[in-house]
Amino acid sequence: MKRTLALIALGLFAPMVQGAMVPFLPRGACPDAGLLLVIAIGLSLRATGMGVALTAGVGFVADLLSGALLGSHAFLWMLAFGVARFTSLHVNLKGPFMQIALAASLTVGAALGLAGLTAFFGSAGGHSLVAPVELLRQVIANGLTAPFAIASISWLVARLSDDGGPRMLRIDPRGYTS
Amino acid sequence: MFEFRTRVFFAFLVAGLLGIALVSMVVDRRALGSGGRELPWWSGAVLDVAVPVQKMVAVPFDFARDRWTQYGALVGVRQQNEALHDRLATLEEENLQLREALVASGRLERIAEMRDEFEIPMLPAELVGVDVSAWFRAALLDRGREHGVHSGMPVISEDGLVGLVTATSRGAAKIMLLIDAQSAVDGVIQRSRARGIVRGARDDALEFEFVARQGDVRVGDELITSGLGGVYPKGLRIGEVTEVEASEDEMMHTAKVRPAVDFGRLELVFVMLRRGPTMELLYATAQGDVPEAAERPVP
Repeated sequence: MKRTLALIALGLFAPMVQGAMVPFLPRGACPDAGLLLVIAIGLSLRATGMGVALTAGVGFVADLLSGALLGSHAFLWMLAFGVARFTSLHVNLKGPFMQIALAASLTVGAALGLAGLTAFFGSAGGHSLVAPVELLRQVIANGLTAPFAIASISWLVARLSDDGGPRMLRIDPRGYTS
Repeated sequence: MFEFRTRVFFAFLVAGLLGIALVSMVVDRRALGSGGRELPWWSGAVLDVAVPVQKMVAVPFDFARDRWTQYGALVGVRQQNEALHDRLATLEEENLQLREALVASGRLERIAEMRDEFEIPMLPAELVGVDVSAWFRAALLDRGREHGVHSGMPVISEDGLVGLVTATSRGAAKIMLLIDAQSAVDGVIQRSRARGIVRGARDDALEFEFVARQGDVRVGDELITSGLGGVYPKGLRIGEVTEVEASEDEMMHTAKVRPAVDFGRLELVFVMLRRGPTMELLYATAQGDVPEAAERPVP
């Protein structure tokens, strides 16, 4: 219960804090707190159902605090959660490099997904939403902060957990979690 | 059996949440097309909570930026002071001549009367946060429905047009900035009266699409709102043309425009507390009301 409340509070306040910090940094240089939280939840929370529900909640908060269509972040981040979960079952994500690679790929995927959804619903006028330079900045910012975010959320989940702590990230070659 | 039930429940949960997200997008798109939306309490509460949180978080950053700006300003203050004195003298001279001309023609009095007649009430609002996504250009204001702010109302600053209110809660409002890729404003070149559509482009700039005629648009031209489209009042400053991309083969030309408003330093804005006629009609239709203006027979 405590763990769930803590994650809900993080999901609610992380995008708000990010929204206040964005004006002081170059466009795209502020790490996407919501996406990082989703990745971290995907890798560290045992209960998948709760993870999906939390992800949807964080996504809707991000939608409300951005110019995106309501539901677009929620939709894409649920997919990102699924990808993070699936990857963690098949790839050893214990080291920072793999976590950076995962966060970077999901950043690109989420950005292109948002651009695609916005274009599909006819909201953007001619221009692609995603500028390459800004995307590069965002990939670097999210990639560099991902290991810290994952470690922090894992620590939080372990600390407040009542079901045996966080999921183990390391997978041995035979596929058994260690 | 238990595992099967869990799996079915999980499948329904995921499908349900994805479905809700998709339906939300469709509903939101329709709402934006009909003048924006008043958020229900459960989602409006997020904006209401965000306002004080973002104000609080911004305090130390604002402090650091102010100190840095003051230091930077001190470095070149003497040269700037001299340049400003020269410019002030020129402008005072120019201002005097213009006043003379206006008074002489008796227009000053008439302009003052017109101003009283057409003045739109405005509400000052503080910009407390910007878009959490790097790909959109929205902002959060600390004024909402309880202050008279509703979706579809234009937002300006002392420099020019800022954007449009797209969603409101009890104590906050979300605005789509002029530089957002989803924004489109009917604009006119002040000098030549060439009309076109102004859209948000990359790098916080604007793009003006217009039907080309020789010499209609030049670098340095001032772009203002045309008033057509019924969303924004006529005559609000949009920006200045910085580059014209002329291609003889195409009928539609584009020009790059530097916004009059510095969106990176925007803090205080004014919400025009009256929707344009198109927005009013769209909004009323979406609410199921027919506005008085639409019911009134055309004489």
